Amino acid sequence: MIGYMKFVIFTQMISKNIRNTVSIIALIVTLSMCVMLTGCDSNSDTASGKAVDADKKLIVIGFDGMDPKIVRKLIAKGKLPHFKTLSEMGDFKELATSIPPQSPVAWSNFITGMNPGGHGIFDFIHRDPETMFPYLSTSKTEAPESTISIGDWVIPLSEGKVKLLRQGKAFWEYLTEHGITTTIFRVPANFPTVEGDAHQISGMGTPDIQGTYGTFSYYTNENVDKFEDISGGVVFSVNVANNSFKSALPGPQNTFKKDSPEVKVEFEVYIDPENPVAKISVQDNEIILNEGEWSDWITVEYEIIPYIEKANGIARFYLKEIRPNIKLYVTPVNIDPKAPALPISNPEDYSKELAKAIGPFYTQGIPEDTKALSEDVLNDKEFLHQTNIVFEEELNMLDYELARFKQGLLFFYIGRADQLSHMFWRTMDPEHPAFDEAVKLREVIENSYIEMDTVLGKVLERMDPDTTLIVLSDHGFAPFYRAFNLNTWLKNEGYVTLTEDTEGEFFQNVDWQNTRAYGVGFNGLYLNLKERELKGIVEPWEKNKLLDEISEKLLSVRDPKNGEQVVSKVYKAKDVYQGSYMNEAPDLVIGYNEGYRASWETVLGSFPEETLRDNKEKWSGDHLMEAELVPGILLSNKKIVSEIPALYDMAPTILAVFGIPKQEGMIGENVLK
Amino acid sequence: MWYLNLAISSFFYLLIAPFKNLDPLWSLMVMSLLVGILMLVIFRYTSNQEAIRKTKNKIRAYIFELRLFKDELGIVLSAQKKIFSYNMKYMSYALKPMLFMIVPLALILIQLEGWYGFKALTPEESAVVSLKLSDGNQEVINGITMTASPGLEIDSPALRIQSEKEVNWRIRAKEFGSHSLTFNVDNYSFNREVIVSEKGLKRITPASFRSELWNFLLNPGQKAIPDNPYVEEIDVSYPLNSIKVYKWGLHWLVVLFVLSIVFGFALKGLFKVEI
Repeated sequence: MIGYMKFVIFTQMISKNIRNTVSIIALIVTLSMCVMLTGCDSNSDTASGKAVDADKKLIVIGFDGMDPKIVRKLIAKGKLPHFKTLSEMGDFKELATSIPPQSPVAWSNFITGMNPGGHGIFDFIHRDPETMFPYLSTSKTEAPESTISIGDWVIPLSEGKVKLLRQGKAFWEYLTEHGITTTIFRVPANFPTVEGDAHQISGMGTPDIQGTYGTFSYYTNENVDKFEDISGGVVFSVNVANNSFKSALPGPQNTFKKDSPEVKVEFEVYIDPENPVAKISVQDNEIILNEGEWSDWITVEYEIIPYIEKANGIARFYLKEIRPNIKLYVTPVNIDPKAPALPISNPEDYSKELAKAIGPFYTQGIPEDTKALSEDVLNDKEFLHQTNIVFEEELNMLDYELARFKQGLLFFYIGRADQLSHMFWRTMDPEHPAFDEAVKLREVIENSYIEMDTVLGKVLERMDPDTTLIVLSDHGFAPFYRAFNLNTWLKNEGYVTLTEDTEGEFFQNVDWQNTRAYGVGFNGLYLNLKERELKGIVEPWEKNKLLDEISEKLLSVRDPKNGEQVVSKVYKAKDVYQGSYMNEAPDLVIGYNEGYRASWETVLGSFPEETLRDNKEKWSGDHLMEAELVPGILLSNKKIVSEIPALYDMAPTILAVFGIPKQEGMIGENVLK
Repeated sequence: MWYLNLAISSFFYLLIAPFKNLDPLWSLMVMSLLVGILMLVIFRYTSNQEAIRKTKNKIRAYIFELRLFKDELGIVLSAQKKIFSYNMKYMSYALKPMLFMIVPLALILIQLEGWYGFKALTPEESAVVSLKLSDGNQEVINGITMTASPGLEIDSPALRIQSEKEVNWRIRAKEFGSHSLTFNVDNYSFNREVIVSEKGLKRITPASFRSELWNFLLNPGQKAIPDNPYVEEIDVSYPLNSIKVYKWGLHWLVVLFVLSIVFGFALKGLFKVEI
């Protein structure tokens, strides 16, 4: 998907050097003019002016996916003492999430104070109406416009770019314009990080070194047929001879070479003939792991252009088993924060500073490797151990940030409760199709809430009484019992015609000349509209009637298994969105009933046979449903005056803490007293 | 060879000892100053100073000619040819002193690598210990054991790699101090020092060798592995060190190279050296 990543990196690097030079010259010229001009005062106010309350202090903690029902239940049980304290100090209310309640959409609402019509993020997945091909919604890479080829090499003649697709100004840009010190830690939908004065580490949406959202590697000499259709990782079959084997860590595509071959780093593993121990030699690193051990972060260098250009990554090895089969898991190779190949922080040195203070850390957007658990490469306990490594890093980062927080805003994001709720709902809910009596990890989700309470306790302990504290989540959680194949349903209802009746993917078997509607992403439904879609057939005047018809039919869908309503609400884009990007919105947003969600297959344009199926996967909890069913949480040490605060209220609220009025385009209001 | 090794190492120990508890940059600056002066002195007495002076004057003269007659293509080309030829000559004059510098410089760099190249282990830090053998006799390899003195913990069983003729272990530092590992191979016993420290300069030797020559070159100040039919080398994977200059962590060689050149040029007038 981002095959030109390295191309982009290199051209960015070149242009950055040029920019630096220009900046230095501009600085010298400016300073010279200041010296020459009588009365030039370095303290003179800028056009934007200083905020009245620039020395105020605000900490915002974002706990992705914390559900108000669970929080209330655990407070009542006395298990969340710090949440209880905070709600008693100020307030605790449900926080209306975005439509649809997906993290990139929800956090974009939070960041911009707008809804998707204003910031342009409508789903994890968007589609290109020209090609009908789905793509990830928050960022994209643009290859250089022109290149020349010399032998096997491809030389860029212009700059490539990694581009953030979220539109609208982030609230911290207004803060820094007013001289307010701001740190934004891992907020989703902020890769690449916004340029400016705020310290930022990018969050959800940040790729690994391969340009994916996280691709693990798994090396084994067991039968790999069972991993044939694996997603989120690559399984390598290895041949162990003389107690050793060689293999390679996959890396980025080298777009400086013809056909963009993948760059690899070779490594060798030596196994003791009897003892459960192995040595891994990768470049200059030698590590010894006992069976069942994780390595520390290992730095690997991918050579892009010999002696000139390389891309640094970091990975951890987990020696799962030695005998009877070798089983070696390697995390996705993350972008090295000490030498980032892509803009994962602002300023660039910030990730280096952090790595120096706390050591290397996961930089990929979603560090918890849920795919490895879903694909049975890691078991429940191994996955929990991996998430504990992530959490430990997060705690170290929080400590570091709290120690340097003196004034202004600190936003800190933790995604642990969200990821564990996705993966372990099945263990606490006997009604879940994936529930297994033998699996005893009933309290993983509850424990993750207790851990978030510990985090809150740490913040409460270290902040002073003048600091305003806001704790929020972007959405709540619900079970994911049954998967709905929206595209199959559309086909069965006659809205989609296939060229051949196969499952297909990416709409490859769709007869667009005879298709009136299609589903893309987790909640989006689009009409095949004339003058918008390349092969559109629906006339604009038919649009409203057709949308009404589909909505009505969707609301009447009943689950044959239990008679439950599958879709509880259908939102029309024009009714729920406002802003400049309305033309990119899906025509309908499907609000699934509790327990239901779009299937993984339908999201990318596949047509499985069944319309509904049991979800027997480990990914067992979800929130991609009707927004009113999965609100988030909002707590503060100040009184919350709004009856129904919403995520898009947060940006104006944060500005208001510093005495900055709500900005143009923001649709929310200050919710704090 | 051991006594020569000991003498050189002791000399460097005395030089560095006053700075042991300061930031390594300070002692490295002093080393760079001494290296700069030493190079100046060698250059002064091993090069043809008069010839160098004349050659440099010639080059200056032809550069001046280039400026004066920049519109006369023939003169410009001829001047460039001569500048090139005198540059070659100038470089040839530097060859002889460079040959004289190689040996002392190599000895100095070997010594300094021991002081600045690696960091001691810190408590809870782990390292790989490798014992390399002359042959991969399975019976000998299987019988090798390693024990650690208090202050170190062996936290992996032996990893025997017959194809590489080596045995590896992972150790973990537990306490500050100079600790020892003892290896038993057949009827032979060997010791290896492991240093656990946090502050101050320590001479660290990651590898020790049975070969006297290799040991002299790569393990200064330490005795070679006693003569035996099995063990060739014992390594401890100490972490690499870097010298903090402002906010950058630089390799000590870069710092030494830059600073000794700076000191050399700064002091060439004082020592009356034509470079």
